[in-house]
Amino acid sequence: MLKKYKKIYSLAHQAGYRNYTVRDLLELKGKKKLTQINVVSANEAAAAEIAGIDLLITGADNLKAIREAAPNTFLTCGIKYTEHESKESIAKKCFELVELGVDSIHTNSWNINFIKYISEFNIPLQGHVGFVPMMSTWTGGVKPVGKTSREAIKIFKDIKELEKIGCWAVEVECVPKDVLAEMTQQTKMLTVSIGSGIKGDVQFLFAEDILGYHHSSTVTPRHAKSYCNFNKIYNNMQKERIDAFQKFQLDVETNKFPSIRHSIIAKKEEVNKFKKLLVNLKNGNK
Amino acid sequence: MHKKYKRVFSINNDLGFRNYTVRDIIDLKGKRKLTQVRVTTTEEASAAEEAGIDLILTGPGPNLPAIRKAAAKTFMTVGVPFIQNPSKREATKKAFDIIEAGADSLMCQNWNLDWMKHLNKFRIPFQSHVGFIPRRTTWIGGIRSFGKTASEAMELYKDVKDIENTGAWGIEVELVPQNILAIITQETSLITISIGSGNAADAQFLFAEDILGQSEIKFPRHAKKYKNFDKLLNNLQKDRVNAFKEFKLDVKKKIFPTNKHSISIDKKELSNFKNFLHKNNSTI
Repeated sequence: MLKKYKKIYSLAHQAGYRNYTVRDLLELKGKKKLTQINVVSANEAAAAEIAGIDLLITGADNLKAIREAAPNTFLTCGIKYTEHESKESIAKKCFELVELGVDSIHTNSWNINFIKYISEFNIPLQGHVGFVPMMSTWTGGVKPVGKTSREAIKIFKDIKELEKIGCWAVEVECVPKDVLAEMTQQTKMLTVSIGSGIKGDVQFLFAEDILGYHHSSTVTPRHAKSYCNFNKIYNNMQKERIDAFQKFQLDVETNKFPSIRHSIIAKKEEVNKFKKLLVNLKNGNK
Repeated sequence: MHKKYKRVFSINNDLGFRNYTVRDIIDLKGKRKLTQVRVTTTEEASAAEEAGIDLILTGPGPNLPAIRKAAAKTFMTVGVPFIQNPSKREATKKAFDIIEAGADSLMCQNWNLDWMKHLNKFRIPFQSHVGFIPRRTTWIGGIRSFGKTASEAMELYKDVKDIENTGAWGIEVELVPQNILAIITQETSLITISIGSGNAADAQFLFAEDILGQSEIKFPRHAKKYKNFDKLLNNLQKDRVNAFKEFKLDVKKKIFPTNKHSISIDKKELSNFKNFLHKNNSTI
């Protein structure tokens, strides 16, 4: 086996193995294209680690199981801004996630002062610019951001602010390819492209988009690529479940299940004894 | 479509539809064989309802409301753990919480009989459990059938009668000889629910994971496997790994993303932006 993982201490001082430290990632800028996947289940996380995906990102809800399923992959965890009204509260949450083994925190649409505060603890941070879903009311809805030089300059300033704070990476969402190409050259941070073209240092997709699995309300976004049709597979599995339960129902209705093979039989003499004891019991009760 | 569901008020006073009321189930004794399936996921619950399974059993976990929603019209019994609720009062409180989550009936496994009598005073439908009871195996010497001798069968009969006297509507009977349960089913007004206890019971009970072939433990002798979900799930995981590998390779070979996946910018806007960057750099 090739030496895939290196010995590390996690941010919580746990000895372990990882594919990368944050230093390795920074040094790979401009040298190697990396991949990042958003996972929501232990199965997705385990599959991503086996497949050699470079970076994982997830939410806080199922973090413990996901860390266990992919213990050796650099893992970033997001925190929703609406759950933390103060920098003390968000710091406490960050520490909890660090204790659960995360390698980095995703700051999404946090108050910039909170991001600065967390950076003072030297916790590696990944920011988010361009189209930021929760803040998209400011950019005019679900649409690309940065198609005018004015918007592109605003994104550039956002990136520089995060860089100044010390973030190691920035997710750049739905920004024109050529704009990201410039920015990737202009920042020391790793740029993580989702829908922003090929010039990011990292390509980022959601596991559910790669797998072709969607909750009924969503469709595959234009920028994503599906490599499987899990919707179809899940629908078929559900049909299989229904079929199995129908067969069980029918077996019971037609007395085919359970058969003797599935049953236990008491000896005739014990059954007769039991019947007599029941009669005695009833007579005794009268 | 034939009239499959009837209008009901649930025991938390919600207006809805159900396949059975507890009265219907009691009235069906000796007339019709029923099925009960234990489910742990919303997929299993909705599949069971669609398949026309008569009764659903599930646990009191955090996904109970989702399971209730997934099989909104099927008579649903929910387990009430006694270990975490070590008094009559606490157990009753937990039972009420579960009723509010939409249960039609409770499973009082291992409960103190007094607590069950107390619950009956609220007119809450519940079922219980006799024969081989996993938590009580130390009393019978391990995992084995119960009731193969006349004296054990008498013990079982008394257990059933004790539970009948608490006001329960049903009783799960686990790993009891078929010919013993045949007699007991006739001797009790309870709906007997067989798991591994033969075909003479009023209802047949299996775990969804056993029916689907997705067991974590070695497949139980008394269960019947209708599908091989272990294999399906393994294949699914292989598909996940392959999909992620392909994505990684696409990125490495710069096949993804293409222009189709990307956003373009007007040439003039781009050069404006570049001019800004140029000026910005020269001011640093």
